[in-house]
Amino acid sequence: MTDTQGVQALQGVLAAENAAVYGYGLAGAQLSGSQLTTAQQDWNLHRAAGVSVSSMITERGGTPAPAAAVYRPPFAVNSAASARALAAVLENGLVQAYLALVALDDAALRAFGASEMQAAAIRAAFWRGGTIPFPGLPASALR
Amino acid sequence: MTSWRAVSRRRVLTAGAIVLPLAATASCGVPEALRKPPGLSASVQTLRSSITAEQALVDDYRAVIRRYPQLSGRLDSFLSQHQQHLAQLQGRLVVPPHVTMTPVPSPSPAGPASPGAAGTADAAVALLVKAEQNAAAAQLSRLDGAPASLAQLLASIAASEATHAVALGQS
Repeated sequence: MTDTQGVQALQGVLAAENAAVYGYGLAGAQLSGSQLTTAQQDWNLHRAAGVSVSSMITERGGTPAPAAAVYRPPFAVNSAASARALAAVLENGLVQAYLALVALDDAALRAFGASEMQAAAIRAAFWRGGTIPFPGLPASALR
Repeated sequence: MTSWRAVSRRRVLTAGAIVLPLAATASCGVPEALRKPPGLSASVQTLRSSITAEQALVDDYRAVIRRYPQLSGRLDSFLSQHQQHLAQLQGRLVVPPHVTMTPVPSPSPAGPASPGAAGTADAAVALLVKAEQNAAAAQLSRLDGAPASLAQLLASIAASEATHAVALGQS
């Protein structure tokens, strides 16, 4: 039987991971030195995560959605600063995608989502150059 | 300004406190439940322990800044974010007045390992890093069984604390 809610949330994670793989390729072209090394490490990490999440979708009776051939970045990526900004945007998207897993009743997926969103939040803070109080939560969720 | 959602939550909590004893009375015919109001729900217990842990972090930061004012510029933004965490958690906790609130032991009691008691500024920061790591791990341990919206808030706070630990360790 298909775990519909779990599969749906995992598809969201997979989409964010696929976007990150493509986006880090764009960002890496504008980076150098230690930042390029970090971007390459993150790119590899997201490729592996995409494979892992695809397996989780299959295990739950779903079919992993394929990555798009091309992704349009939210702004022009033509400098090191815009590359860092893009990486922060990508990681923030991952924080939000993994946070969706935390809303599920499945304890294993909830724990997995919470753990992965911490890792994404740490990477986002690195590329952003600062921490924020509520990673992944929209302002409408706060009171 | 009180939000519609906050008002709604208060109504739900208050209604729960009133309706549960009456329902129990109707089912068994003995007003036992009226003499003993329902205790705190698991969600309230989770919120209380999160609030206690967050308050402990705020106290730790204040103690370190008081003892080592030169760290103020480095620590103020982290302290501010913990105060925002605390406000969000406290805003979700509305306990009926008949429920007795007993203190939850602090996860980081004052003592030799207290950041505010560290002998040097560097040692104090190192203890804050440890406190942030412990707090993030503790928040994750509270996720199981929590309502979805509370679980997401706790996970977000845990992620914020994880970033604090890394940023503090690198600054």
